[in-house]
Amino acid sequence: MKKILLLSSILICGFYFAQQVHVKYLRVLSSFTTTHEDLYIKNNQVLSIQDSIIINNKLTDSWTLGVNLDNGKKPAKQYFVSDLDKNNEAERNFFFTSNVDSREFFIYDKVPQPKWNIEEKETKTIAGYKCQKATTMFRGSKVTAYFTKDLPYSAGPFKFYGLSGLILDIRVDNKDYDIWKAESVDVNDKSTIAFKPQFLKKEKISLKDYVAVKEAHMNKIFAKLSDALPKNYKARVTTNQRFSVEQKYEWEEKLSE
Amino acid sequence: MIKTVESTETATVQKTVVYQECGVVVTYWSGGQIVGQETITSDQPDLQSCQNFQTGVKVALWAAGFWLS
Repeated sequence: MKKILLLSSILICGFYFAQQVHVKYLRVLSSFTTTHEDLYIKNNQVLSIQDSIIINNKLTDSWTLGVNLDNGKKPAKQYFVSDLDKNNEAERNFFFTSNVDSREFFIYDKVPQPKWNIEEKETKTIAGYKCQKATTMFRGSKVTAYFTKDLPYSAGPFKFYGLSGLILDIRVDNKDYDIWKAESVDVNDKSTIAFKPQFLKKEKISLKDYVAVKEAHMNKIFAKLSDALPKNYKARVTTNQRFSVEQKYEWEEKLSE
Repeated sequence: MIKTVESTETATVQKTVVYQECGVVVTYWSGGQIVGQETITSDQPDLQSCQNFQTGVKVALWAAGFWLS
């Protein structure tokens, strides 16, 4: 009996790890914009691609002024590359692409495994899969995820991982954006995917340096507007440039300790 | 004979101008995501002045070469 169970487990695992899985997520970028993110998994390799097509759902409030820093250029696709690690990993290496102004980056990020709190009784069916609820703190944001043990991959969209099944829905608490929701799951995907894309023209950079470049660029933009404001306004300016799920990084937590 | 006494009183009325905080939020977008936000406030005496201030911020953005969406 034990042998049969063992054989069945090996066959099931073999089936899942030999197949290419594709999950299409609806990604809510902001209160007004959405896109899609496609996650592919095969032979322990994970690739997630955020689409370049942005859908504007409605206009911003009339009291806000929107400034498009893309200057009419189409945004680039964003790639997140990682590997599944069967061992109990404390952190996972991610490589992702991003742009700051006209500079293109390929960024190395070591993401600590989130400490998940699983709520066994809280379940939901997403894209036909029974999912369990889990919560954690991810880089300064409280997030709630639903994952399915039917797809036994410790992965998810963006840089999320660390659960005993694939994350099919994850969102930042009390926000109407920073949401990833699976729309479809294909466990026998036939598309040809380069799991280790080469970004030879992009600048290789660590996450810490990338954050510094990005924030220095935004500070220049803020200064440009401040300089252009008429001085007789005696205007007071407050700025904020952290709107994503990543509110606080590991090196910042160490500094505040 | 009737004696008339004329008295003149001068009242000085000081007009108090109440300034109220007037503001505008500038949201910077890239790739469909908000990458930065500035709240610019200034004390203005009335709605017209507030609207002029808000238009002034818009003009400053154009002058700085930004692409308003």
